[in-house]
Amino acid sequence: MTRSSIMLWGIVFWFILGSIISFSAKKRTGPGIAEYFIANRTIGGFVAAMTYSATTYSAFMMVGLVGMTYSFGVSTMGFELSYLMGTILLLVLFAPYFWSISKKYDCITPSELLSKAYHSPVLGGITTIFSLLMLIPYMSVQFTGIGYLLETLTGIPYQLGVFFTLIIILVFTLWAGMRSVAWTDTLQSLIMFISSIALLYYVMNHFFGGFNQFFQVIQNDHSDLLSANKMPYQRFLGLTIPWLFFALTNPQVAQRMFISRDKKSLKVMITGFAIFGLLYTLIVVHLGLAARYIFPDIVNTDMITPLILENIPVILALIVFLGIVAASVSTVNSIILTLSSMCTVDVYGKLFKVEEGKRLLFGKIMVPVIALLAFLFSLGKFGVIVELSVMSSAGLLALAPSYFGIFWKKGDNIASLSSIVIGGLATVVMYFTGYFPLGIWPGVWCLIISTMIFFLVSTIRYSKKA
Amino acid sequence: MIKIDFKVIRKPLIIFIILIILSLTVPYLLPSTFAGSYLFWIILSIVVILYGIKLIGGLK
Repeated sequence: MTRSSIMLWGIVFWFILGSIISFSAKKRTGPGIAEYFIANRTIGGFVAAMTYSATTYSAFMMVGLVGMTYSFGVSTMGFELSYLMGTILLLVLFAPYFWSISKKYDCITPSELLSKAYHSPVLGGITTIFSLLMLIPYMSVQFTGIGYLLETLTGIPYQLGVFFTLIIILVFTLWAGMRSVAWTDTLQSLIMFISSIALLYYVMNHFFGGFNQFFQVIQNDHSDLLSANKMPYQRFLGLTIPWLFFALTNPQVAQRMFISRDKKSLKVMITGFAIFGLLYTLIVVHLGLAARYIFPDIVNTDMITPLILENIPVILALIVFLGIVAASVSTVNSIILTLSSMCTVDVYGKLFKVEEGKRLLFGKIMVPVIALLAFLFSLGKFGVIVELSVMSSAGLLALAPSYFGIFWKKGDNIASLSSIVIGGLATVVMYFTGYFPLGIWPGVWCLIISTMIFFLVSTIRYSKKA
Repeated sequence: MIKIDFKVIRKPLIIFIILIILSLTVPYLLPSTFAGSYLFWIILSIVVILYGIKLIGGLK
């Protein structure tokens, strides 16, 4: 059996396993919108932690972050761990309140929470459209990642690989909504974690002769990688600051604050994610440092992980490959389900006063529609998709002040709407013109502009009311 | 409108912000060794996680 056919059969086996889990979830799924989109707030702590982790960490970790560490050393670890700290901060401070509010006011989506918090259905609709525009390019990058990896490792043509990915995502998402996504995400996160540990163990022992030798080699021969200054400070801040707010601004993770069965499960979710995030980040960063010694002269750093896969035993390569595919699929299916829930609750449900069954049907139709949009987008030019994806991550930051505004008595709906629209537009303009004032990255500008607008408009309107 | 009193999160928010500012600044002043920024970031992350666990442990 050839290396590529083993990879192919591995994917088939993983897909069958995921489908069985998804089918089992369907048998446990009851009727109703809340059941389909947030599993009726009945997800236990462990599964919640695993789906939160799998949704947060995409293929970027094993492909992009390994390459970044290869180039920029421990400063990449600093970026990723600062992001983790920011996420823990937001989860600890916001999740308990958001969970309670979403339960009390029956909110299914983060945009619904915003619209109820500010008494503005329009705000929910705008947030939904804004999130759709921003997240479709981000999903497309995940599709393209799997497509290229499948082509490189199994020989499946790119378009066909992306199409298979679409089918896999639909099977894991459509059948039972959140319950299916959460259960399959648990499988994916376990594969991601186990495969990365196995790879690190093999790399350390096979290429270095153990962890002690690894530390010695890096300290003696590649000490430049241990300097935080390896990544220019402006770049470090430009990357890190936008990601600090990821837990609030990205609806697919924000919605996971609503799914826990009770507060105990919510606590387990936060703790579990924190531990998973720390360990997974450290594993990936150490692989990137090791790669610098193993392959010293790589120019295209995105090729480092595929190169590692070609130089390790086939079974291990298969498990790691599945881990990367699992990371992508678990991120995309969560985004698709969240976006379809937002379209259903915050747009369709507000425009048409129809019975719940019809709204649920609309939500189920939106799942393949959004998936298809991301699929079609991924057939476009790769460079453009990546650029748009970076832009969209920055643009979502315009939502941050509105979430913080829930804790501020002066925060109001017009301030929220204007901060989202102007902050988002400013980011798009900066990316399209390439003009970054003062050399500061657009994500940081987006946060500054939207915060200022939110603060100013809220203050003015509050003083007028008073 | 749904509003949450800011006072309930003020103290932990300030502590968290200080910890994150440390993460964004101090490592750039440390030497290029495993005992430098590498160790600092790992220890700071563990501190943040433990503080977070302590805070959510106290929630009712």
